[in-house]
Amino acid sequence: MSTPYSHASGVGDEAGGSGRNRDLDELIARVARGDQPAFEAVYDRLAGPVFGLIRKVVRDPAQSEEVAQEVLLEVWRSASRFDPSRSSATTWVMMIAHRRAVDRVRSATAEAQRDQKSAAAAMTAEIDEVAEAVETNLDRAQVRRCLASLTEIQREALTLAYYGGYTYREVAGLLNVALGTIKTRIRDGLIRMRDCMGVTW
Amino acid sequence: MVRLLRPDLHGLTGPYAVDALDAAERDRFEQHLGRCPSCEHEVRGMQETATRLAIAVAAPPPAGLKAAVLTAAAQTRQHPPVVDAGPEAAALPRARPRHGGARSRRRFRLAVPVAALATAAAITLGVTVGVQQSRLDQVQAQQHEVAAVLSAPDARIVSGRTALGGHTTMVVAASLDKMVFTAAGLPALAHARVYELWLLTPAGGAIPNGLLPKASAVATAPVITAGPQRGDQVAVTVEPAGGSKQPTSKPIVVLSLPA
Repeated sequence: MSTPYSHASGVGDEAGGSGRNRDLDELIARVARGDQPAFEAVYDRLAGPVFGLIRKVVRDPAQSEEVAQEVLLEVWRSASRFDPSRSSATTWVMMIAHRRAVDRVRSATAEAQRDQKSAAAAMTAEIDEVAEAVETNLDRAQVRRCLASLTEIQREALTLAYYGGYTYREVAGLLNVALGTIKTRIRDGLIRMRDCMGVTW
Repeated sequence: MVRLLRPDLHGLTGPYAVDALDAAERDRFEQHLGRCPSCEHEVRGMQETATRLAIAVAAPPPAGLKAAVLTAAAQTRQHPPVVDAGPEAAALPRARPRHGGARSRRRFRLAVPVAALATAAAITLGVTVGVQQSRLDQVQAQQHEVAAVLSAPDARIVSGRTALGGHTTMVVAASLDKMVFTAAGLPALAHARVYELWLLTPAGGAIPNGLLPKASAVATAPVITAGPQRGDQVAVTVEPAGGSKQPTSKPIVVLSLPA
């Protein structure tokens, strides 16, 4: 008696460093072929970062869960479109997650203008929260250290844009800084973070 | 050099990498990106950097999310790979969900989340369909059981098409020794026939594991039964009304858990 559903074993290999990333690339390739156990392994690896990022941007827990479900399903559906020569698998998934989260808050903004002042105050608290994040988590500790190395305006502009989901025009309005300056500060902030964290391309 | 001619656009690498452009600017910048390798390189480094910011705020997802996502995936057709080297295909790998361009992609984006929600709703709420008021307590107890299986940390999901068409999905929680089984698109059977579930043991035995409820037009209500033991497979056969003690026909589907 044969099973109508084929499955591969050996998912969830927990190698470290770039081996781990290659492993994730391979899992996504298997997902593209309809491999459900591979998709489950991808879920186990990335659902935490996906949900955390979406919740950071969207805030509302129920909406965050909804968006996270859409994003993870999009990963399943579009796995064949992942191109390892263009980005790491994690980045591919996080880009989908961030784009969807931002789409959600911007369409919500169109319906009801957000109170920008209080949002800015909340974001400042959020920045502190990131800065105080658990030290045992290496990634968090490193992000915290590198964020602290930015100038105040670079840090605010970058976190409002990425964690806040604001356009750079909105960020300029929130911080009351010229548009051209904000554009440059976001870019400089990212370049400094990149170098500080040793991200190479 | 393009970069010198369009300094305003080059400066947008940062805002682009963190999705901080509005739709019109993003489109313009993406056109520019295709002609500016240095911008592209810079954007990639920034996108990888943004990923580190994402990982830094990772949070445990809600308990029910995993089963909902895996269930929806099992019932969602995947995009084929891009094989055409035409102009539109060339734009796709970088294109994010919003930039597929083609109308059909847009429609698909809208349709699938709805389908996913419908699936989740069908599984968690479907048990109430067509049920008498007097059985409400029983049904609520069953709903709790179903929810417990779907949200178990070790819940695993397997789907398969049946020989009669339609598909079946089981979610197995080994820690609870239970599974939830659903079917959709199975043909209606003659009055005196039923779909029966079986656990097939590695030794070749078949243990009756309950009957599937009568299918509605969309799907059967989920049934909750004993879960398969290690090495067991789960099968469905068509049997005379009331079910059989041993299968009397060939299975229309056999599902097994990954090792």
